[in-house]
Amino acid sequence: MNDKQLTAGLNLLADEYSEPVDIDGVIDAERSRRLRRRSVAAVTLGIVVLLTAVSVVTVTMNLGQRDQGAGPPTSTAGPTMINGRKAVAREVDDRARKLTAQLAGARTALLPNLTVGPDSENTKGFREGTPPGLEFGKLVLVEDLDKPQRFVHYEALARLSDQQGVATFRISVYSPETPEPDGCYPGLPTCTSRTLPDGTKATWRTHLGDAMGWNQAMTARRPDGTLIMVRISVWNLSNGDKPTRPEVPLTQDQLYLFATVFSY
Amino acid sequence: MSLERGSDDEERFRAFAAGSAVSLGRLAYLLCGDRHFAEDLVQSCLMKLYRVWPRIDQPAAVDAYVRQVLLRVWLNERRKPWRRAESRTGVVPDLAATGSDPALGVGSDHVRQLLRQALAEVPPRQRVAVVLRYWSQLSVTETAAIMRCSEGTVRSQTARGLTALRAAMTRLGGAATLARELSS
Repeated sequence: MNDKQLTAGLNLLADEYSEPVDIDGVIDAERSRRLRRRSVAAVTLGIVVLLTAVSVVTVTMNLGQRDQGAGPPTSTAGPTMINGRKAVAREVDDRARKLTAQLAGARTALLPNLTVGPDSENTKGFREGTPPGLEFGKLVLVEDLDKPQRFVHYEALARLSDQQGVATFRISVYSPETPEPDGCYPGLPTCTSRTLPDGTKATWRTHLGDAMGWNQAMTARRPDGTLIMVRISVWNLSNGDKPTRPEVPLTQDQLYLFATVFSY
Repeated sequence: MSLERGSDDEERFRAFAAGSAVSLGRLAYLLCGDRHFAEDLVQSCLMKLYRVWPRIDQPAAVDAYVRQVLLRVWLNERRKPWRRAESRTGVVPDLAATGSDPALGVGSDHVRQLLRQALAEVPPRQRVAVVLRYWSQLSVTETAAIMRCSEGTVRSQTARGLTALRAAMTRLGGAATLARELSS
């Protein structure tokens, strides 16, 4: 079989094919294919946009939940909210020990006829667990985990009890730079103010958050700038409707006694 | 980019497709050995051409380009799993084998049958080289451009393809028949 014979043979074979081509069919098929591809691309794009939106919403919601209620990263036991801020640590340092000693010296006079115990109600979530009653610890609070403005103060907690029931008790001592709460204006029936002999200016308030029980607070600014806040509460949270005792176990005058005990 | 229906570009495409469809179909048929498959290949090839038609700025090169597209389409189709499962050498013959009735081993139909079977036994790229060189009458350079390989590769593929084709024809007992039929 030489080249000429091969070419002739291929021509003979090729002549078998003489099918016409439907040009319109080709064009229509290509146009349909293009439309299908565009439709698929549009649907795919829609799905991608939808999935992206769902992911963004989910992440946003998760972040929101974390900001509102999740525990701070340094705590293993969940959040502790104090005045709307998150506690991230509680430690006993030298200043805490000094404040505990200052309180111990006056404790008998300040808390007569009351049994003092650890206040587990107000210390849930502290990393080191419930501190002993009326032992000061350094508390670091952050305003927001995303805006970590830190607030440091010292705090002692206790659960006070006697024959009539229990109350929770909290003493907070702040640095001199800390601004004090709004003043007590003349004519307000829920507060009184005093200037003590050593120059300490103190305010007593009652009816704070009555819906949850009875609360009183004493705030004092010492001459050296130390800010002291003492809060005593009778909650009705434990059984839902009845307060845990008929009234707070410390009178106004007894609370004022705490105003001159501490020095930051 | 797409062609507007009824535009000049589309009319030019129609004219080109109408003029080259049979020639493309015959090339496809020689490559694949199946009439229906060849139709599919031509259709796919023309669809691809239609897609890029607005971008073709050298009308003189369209012939070579469309052959290149056809070759790509065929080779790609061959790689598809359902195509690989097919065996073109197993085409049911239109005529009985020559050994069974020598009297039937004559005539152009028989020559076509032999050639179709022999071509099917030649490896694909060698088959392309042989068909483009000996049926399309393209030069080595033109064939190399369509096959997207060097001219040396075209020469070697053509030589091997011819050897394989001749061996298949001899084995099938068709070489003498082809020579006799073509000389008559």
